[in-house]
Amino acid sequence: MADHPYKGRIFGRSVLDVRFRAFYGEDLFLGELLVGDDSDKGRRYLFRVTDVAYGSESSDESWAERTAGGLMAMDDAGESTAARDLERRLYKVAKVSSLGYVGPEGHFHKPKSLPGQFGMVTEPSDADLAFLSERMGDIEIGRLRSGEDTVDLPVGIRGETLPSHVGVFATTGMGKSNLMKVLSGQILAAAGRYALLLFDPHGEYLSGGGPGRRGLAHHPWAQQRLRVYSPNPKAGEASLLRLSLAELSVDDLRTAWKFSGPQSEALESARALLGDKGIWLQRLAEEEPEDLKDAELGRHALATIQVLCRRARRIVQLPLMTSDPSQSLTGKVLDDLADGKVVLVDTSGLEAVEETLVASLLTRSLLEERATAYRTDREHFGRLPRTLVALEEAQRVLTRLDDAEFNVFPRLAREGRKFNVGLCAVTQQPKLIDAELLSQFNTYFVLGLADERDRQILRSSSKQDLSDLGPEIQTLMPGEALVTNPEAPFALPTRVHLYEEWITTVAGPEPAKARPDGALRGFYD
Amino acid sequence: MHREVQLLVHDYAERVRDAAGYLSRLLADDGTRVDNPTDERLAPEGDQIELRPDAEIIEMGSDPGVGVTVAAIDGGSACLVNGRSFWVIAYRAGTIWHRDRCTFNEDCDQLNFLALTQSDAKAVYADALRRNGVVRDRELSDLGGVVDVLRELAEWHRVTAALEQAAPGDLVLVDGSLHPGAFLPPSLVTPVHQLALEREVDLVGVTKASKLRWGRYAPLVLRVRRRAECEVGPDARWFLQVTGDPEAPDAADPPAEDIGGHGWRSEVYVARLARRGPYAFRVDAVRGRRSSEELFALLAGLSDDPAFLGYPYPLARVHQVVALPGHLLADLRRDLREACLRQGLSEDDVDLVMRDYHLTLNA
Repeated sequence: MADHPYKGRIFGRSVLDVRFRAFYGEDLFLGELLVGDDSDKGRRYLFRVTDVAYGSESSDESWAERTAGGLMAMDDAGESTAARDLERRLYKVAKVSSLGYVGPEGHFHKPKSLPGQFGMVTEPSDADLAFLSERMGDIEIGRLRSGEDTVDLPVGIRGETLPSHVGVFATTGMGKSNLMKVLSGQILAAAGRYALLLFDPHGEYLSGGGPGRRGLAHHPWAQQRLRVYSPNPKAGEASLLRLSLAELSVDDLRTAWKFSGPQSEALESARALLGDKGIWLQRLAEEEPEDLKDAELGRHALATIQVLCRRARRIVQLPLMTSDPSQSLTGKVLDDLADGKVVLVDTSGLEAVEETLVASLLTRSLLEERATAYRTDREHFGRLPRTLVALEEAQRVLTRLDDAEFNVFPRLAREGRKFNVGLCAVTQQPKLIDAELLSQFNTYFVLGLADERDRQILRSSSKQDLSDLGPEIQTLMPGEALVTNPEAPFALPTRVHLYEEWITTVAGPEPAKARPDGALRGFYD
Repeated sequence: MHREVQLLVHDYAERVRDAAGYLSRLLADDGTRVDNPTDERLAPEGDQIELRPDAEIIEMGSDPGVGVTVAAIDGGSACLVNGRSFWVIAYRAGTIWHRDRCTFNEDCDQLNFLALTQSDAKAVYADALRRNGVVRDRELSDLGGVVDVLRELAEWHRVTAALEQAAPGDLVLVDGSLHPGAFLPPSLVTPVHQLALEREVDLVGVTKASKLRWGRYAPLVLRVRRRAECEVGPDARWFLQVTGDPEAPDAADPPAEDIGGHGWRSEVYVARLARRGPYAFRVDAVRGRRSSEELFALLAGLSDDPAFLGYPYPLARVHQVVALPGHLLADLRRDLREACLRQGLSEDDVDLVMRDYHLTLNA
């Protein structure tokens, strides 16, 4: 008998679609990890359960239906009964995908052969999963999950892969915010090796977002490594976010709003003709559209200019915007990131377009700074930490790859890797993101997704084969995730750390050593 | 010149109507005599079984039989080659033991696989009788359906073993009749009945397809069932005693006397064992300890498996254990064919031996 709990015996069927028979009472779960033993070849095949069905010893195909009918007839007669000898008459058939096998030499191989027919299926031992621990990175987000059980094996990604972009996909309530807090918390604890620019539209990341919750402010490294900017800061919690009109580009505006062709042309004209360093925006906001048409913008329609003026007024009136370039904190934000800090930008008081405008400005500035460093000072560039830009509701700005001409986010997805800047796109609707853009994301954190179209686009764009995992993604519980990453041998079922519990285990910075007794004695004498 | 035009399709509708009418008249056929084909009589020659049209239909409860051990015995058989002058047969019998809704033991013979001529068959039959402690009392002129005979003898051998193993109050179930037949002499059956009575074990045979008829030709089980539906309704469990004296003062107790004086002790009943069961069955019983009502309540309790409503589950279980499924028979035929070839038979000869020309004609 097996050393580990016995589950059943293999009876087919193909390399990528293995079936095994289990006892009727065996409780098998989608996503459960199991091992098929091929003792003849000395191989241990790693399986993931993708479906479970009932089988019966009866040769009558309608046996189960007939028996259910018998039960109902007895219920109806007021003499409820139960089938006898269920374990002898029924069994379970589990469909498992073969994830690969560990050969006699201890190396993991992709699944290219059939495990031995009638081989024994058991739960995996620690030794079976040992090869995985070698592939887990330093940004740990949880523990390996096998069905509903948690295996004591950390799951994480290598921080070096952050510039290869990260996608976080989940419907509401599935644990996106918790995952983002854990991810941010890991970067905080990374002692400056990585940096994170995190936009917080719901104001939940700093303090946790509710009673009993913990936020980044409670992280042991918060004081040293967390910087918070907010248009409406509470005393002692954050710095006042100020951005200069002079820093805003036409592209930022086009990222935040949808401009028609003529409107884009008029915008370019305004930028060119009404004065640089933000003056063009101020003039659009303050002058009458008719006057602008009579003067510099004569070749554009009045209605077009009116649209520009209306939007410019909205920007100029934002409390966080200033016409004084010296008050801008963009440089400070970039410095913090260069110093390997987590920069949290609280955009919870802003409307969606304003939030996009801020995110666009800061992200574009970061990308330009890193690109400049890359081109002009490779040594300095090499010292800059790999940086991740995390954006919620990312589908708003990642709809079309073609937008990369003016929209910084598709450009970041396409070019950021070269400059060690990655995009972390958080969304409930991956189906709205351009498929080619999604294919740029090397790491997926997939939490529960109810919409089949969302699951479909992830299956087709993931770096690992998720084709059999539709039902598992559909049935993921809050806090359960699948992690795909080129470093991982397969999509890793994961139970994400609960942030509130996890931060209690994080070692903080070493406290300053106490001054020895009498160290200052006599100094002031 | 006149040419007869042949119909492409024969009009047989009138003949079908005639046949249906004939069956309807059969079912309505009246009479009090209960009879069986001559090869399986209910009573010794000369005796007649009478059943009044108003014989009592008794409703019974359902006894879950907590702690009661039930043995069930059945056999499976097949004739793999029927060469008319010889046969290749396979059969086996088995026993399962069931208690408190669980089967706790299954025991099945190894497959008996025999090639026999008519003469061999008689010798094997005589040997099987001897194995059951019976000396053949007359020369058989013919042994038709030899595999069924041998299987049945194997089952009776197991019945004896089960009765010896059972404790008082236990139940031994058999698939089929408990009465003697053409190849099942009373001298074999009677001691088994006696053993059940001595050990106070109830021995019950359930016949799925009874040949009993009531009146001239009406199938007994069907007629009783139709009567019961009228009298106690379609949603009831019931039994009707066909043989033995249901009016006798001790009818509720195990029969102490040899009813009818013919040696064997089994009573014949017709019963419906579940309120929603689709079938009624002929049930033979040698009541070792229980009254009729207690026994049928126990049988009803065993007949509640939703896959086999109205049929005692242990019999369904043992049937599955001993049955010779199609894939097994196909393997046996293939192995036999290969073995014949290895013995030096030509392909043509093997084909001639194993091929049933009806299959060729029907293909």
